[in-house]
Amino acid sequence: MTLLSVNHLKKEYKSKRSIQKVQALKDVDFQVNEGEFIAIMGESGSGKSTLLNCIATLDKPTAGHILLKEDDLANLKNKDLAAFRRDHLGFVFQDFNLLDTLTVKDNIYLPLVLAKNTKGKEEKLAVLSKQLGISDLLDKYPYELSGGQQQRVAIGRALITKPELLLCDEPTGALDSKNAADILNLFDSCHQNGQTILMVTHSSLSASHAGRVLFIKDGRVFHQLYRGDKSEQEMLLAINDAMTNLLGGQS
Amino acid sequence: MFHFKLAFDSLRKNKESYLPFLLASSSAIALNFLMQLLIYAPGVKGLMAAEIVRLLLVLGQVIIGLLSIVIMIYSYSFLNRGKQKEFGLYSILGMQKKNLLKISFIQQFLSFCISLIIGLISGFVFAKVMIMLLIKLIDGSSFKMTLSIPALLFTVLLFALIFIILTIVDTIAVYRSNTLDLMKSEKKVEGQPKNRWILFLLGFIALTIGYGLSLTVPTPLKAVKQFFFAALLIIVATYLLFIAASTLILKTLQKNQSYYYQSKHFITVSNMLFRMKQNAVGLASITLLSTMTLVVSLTTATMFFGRSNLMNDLFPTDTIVRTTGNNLSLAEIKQLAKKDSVSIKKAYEVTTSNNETLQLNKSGKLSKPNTSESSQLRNVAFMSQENYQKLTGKKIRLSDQQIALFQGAGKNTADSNLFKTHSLEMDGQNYQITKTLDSLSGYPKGSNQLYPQLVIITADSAYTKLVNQFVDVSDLSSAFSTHGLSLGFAQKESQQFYLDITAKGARKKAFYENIKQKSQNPFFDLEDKEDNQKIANALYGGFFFIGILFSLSFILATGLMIYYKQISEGKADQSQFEILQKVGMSEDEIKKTIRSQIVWLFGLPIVVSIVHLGFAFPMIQKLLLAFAVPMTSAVYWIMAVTITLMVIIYFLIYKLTSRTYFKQVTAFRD
Repeated sequence: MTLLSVNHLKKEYKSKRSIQKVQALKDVDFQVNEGEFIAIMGESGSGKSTLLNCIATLDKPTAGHILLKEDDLANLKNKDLAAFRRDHLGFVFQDFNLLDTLTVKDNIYLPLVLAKNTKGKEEKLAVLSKQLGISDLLDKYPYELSGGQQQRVAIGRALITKPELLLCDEPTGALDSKNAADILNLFDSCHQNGQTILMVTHSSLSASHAGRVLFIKDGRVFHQLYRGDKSEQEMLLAINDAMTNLLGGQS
Repeated sequence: MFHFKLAFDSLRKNKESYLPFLLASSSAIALNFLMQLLIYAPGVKGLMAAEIVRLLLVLGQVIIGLLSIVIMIYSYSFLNRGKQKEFGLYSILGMQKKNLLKISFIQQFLSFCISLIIGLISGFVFAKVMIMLLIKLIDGSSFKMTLSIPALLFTVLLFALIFIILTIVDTIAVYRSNTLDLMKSEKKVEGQPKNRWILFLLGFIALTIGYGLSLTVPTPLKAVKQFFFAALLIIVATYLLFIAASTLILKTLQKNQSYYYQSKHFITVSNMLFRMKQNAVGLASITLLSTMTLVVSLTTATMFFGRSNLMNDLFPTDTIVRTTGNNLSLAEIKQLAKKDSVSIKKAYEVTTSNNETLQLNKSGKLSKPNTSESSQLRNVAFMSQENYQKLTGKKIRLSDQQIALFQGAGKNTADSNLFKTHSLEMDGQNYQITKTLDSLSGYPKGSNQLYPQLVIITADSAYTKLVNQFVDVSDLSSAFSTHGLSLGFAQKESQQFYLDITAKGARKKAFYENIKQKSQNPFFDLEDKEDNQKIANALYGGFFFIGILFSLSFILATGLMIYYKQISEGKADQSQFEILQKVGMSEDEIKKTIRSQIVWLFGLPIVVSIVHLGFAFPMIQKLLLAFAVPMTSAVYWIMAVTITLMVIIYFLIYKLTSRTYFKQVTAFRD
């Protein structure tokens, strides 16, 4: 069943100093099924971050529609956006974006508190922290943790509301290879539990964990690659081939 | 030219901290120049009691000068942070320290020139306005102020010196730092705030003692002695409690799950916990500055507005003549008045013993003082029944064991209650108090003595006995006794004449001179109410004027501190609110959270300083009594007005600075 549907999305920016418009997204069109783990790849400036921001309701598309289940995000009123994000989406960022003033525990509770839905928060946290391997870090502050640990906490924060869609923006970008692998394995296990994940990355290794990879170039979906029954290693090779083609097309 | 451009560019980029620095230095220059202009103004020299006013002005100059230095260094440190980062970049781009210093020099010189021009002009204009105020306050008529060269020179030199100090600080900073340090942003990860029970306890004890001292201070003299100690305790307590108590309270709130895990408290409490750690010292300083503003303006305003009451208490009539030796009589004075064609509207004549400092203990025993406990000391004069009748024209019948009492200046309820229930024991004998008098015609209600005044009216026989027992000849008279002057009982008494006259200027002077001639007495003392009023006007008007200037500079300092606090926090909070928005906090909620945080951080200092003022009030009252300023109900009005004004000004500062803060915090949405 289709969870997210992106239809002919277009996004233009007006730069401050010139009249000329920049087209970040020209015509992006794809669907994400429930339970899918999908990676979006592209060079810097390809428009992948803009796409993510539009899906995250942090930015409004110039034309086209984004539907989560049956709901058109364009119909959401400004004041409902925050609540929508809170209730339906989970975010994982490259630089973790944890609040230094809150303990690990409180950072994870944050979305629940904002949603005024703190009932049974302890049980939710207990399950999640065990799964993420951060049970003994709960009373620490983010600045006391390593990057990998911080990212786990951030994933915990994203998942505690059981969001329909987990959005990840370069989740391994600030991590070393060991920690990055750990985090990716974590995504794998989330995915196996039925979590729908949409990840934006320019790392082939990260993307090789996904079930499907979309390649974006110049504001369009240029190519897509299904994993099928490929192993991670084979998938990585396939992605690298596709990327070479992508770059080759440029020159 | 290249360096000049870079210097200018850097200032422009840092305008958020540079403009307030310019404001601080220009206002500091303006205030100092104003003080200097006044000190050198020919108008001040021409004033009645010019010496007092000038002394006050010089005193004010010293304090404002010191405060200026502190404010400028403080605001410069903020400017410097941004600048250092930029210098780091230049350094990476290959600029040598020599060049950096050159840029820094140009900047310093530029700032100096700009603030000097603004400061001197506005200082001069402001001085013109303030002089009109000063004239009004000290009841002057015209006042000459010129653009005096020494004043100008002093101001320019003082600030050249301050800027040189800042440049030296700068030079040291540039030389000591390496490039990477310069590049690193000011952001440092703050550790988790810890409970500090010992600091809290110390602060709490200091506060209790400080408040206790103020509430229990028994006499004006004690108040003078204890004021600085109490102030010191409260200053220490404010710092300690802001540091420790805030963390304790917030941590307790955090432990209360049902309170803490509510969206409206969650972010505020956890944020405040960290904020307080970084800002406790700043907030405490703001609190103390606004407390000082309140105390200074309340004290000086009360002095100023209480001065006519004071004068009326000290001088129930226009002229007071005091002499010893019974060689002047009211009849003679009236004769002189006739001769000088001065008409006397009212006249009282009274003879009392000289004032003597005696000790009154809690069971009503009056004795020669053998205590350091100043709360038991009274300023006592004896008056015979006969003299009382002569003064008031009222009959009074006192037996040898009976007395009547008049409580003059410094009248206090503890004494009144004592006199209601006890008799007075003097020289081993009990005297029954038959009457306590509400007024004693002609006799002044005020005095410039530190101890409460007590007039004891006795039967004539007891009078002689008591005066011989208790009253010494004054030091002045004993000095004369060594020169072989005859001294007798007469030297223990003084005659006082209280006169209401209608005469001005030269005629009055001639009249006074004639009385003096007539008395032929070395212990002659004549005081004129009008002269004293002028002195009081100059003194208390001068005090009030200085008070206003102080308050202005304190408020300026407070405003700057708040501003810098806001912009430094705004930068830090910006990323935090950006995260919150992404995680699903709505704009409304963010605004609410920001607002409640600001309200707390703003409200706390002003509330605490009003509480401080409340507790300091009894002590201020006593302190004013030490300056002979009587307390009337007007003081409550003055307090209310002072607090209201302060709150309004504070609120304006809040409005101005929180706008900048809001803009900064919500900048991510652009």
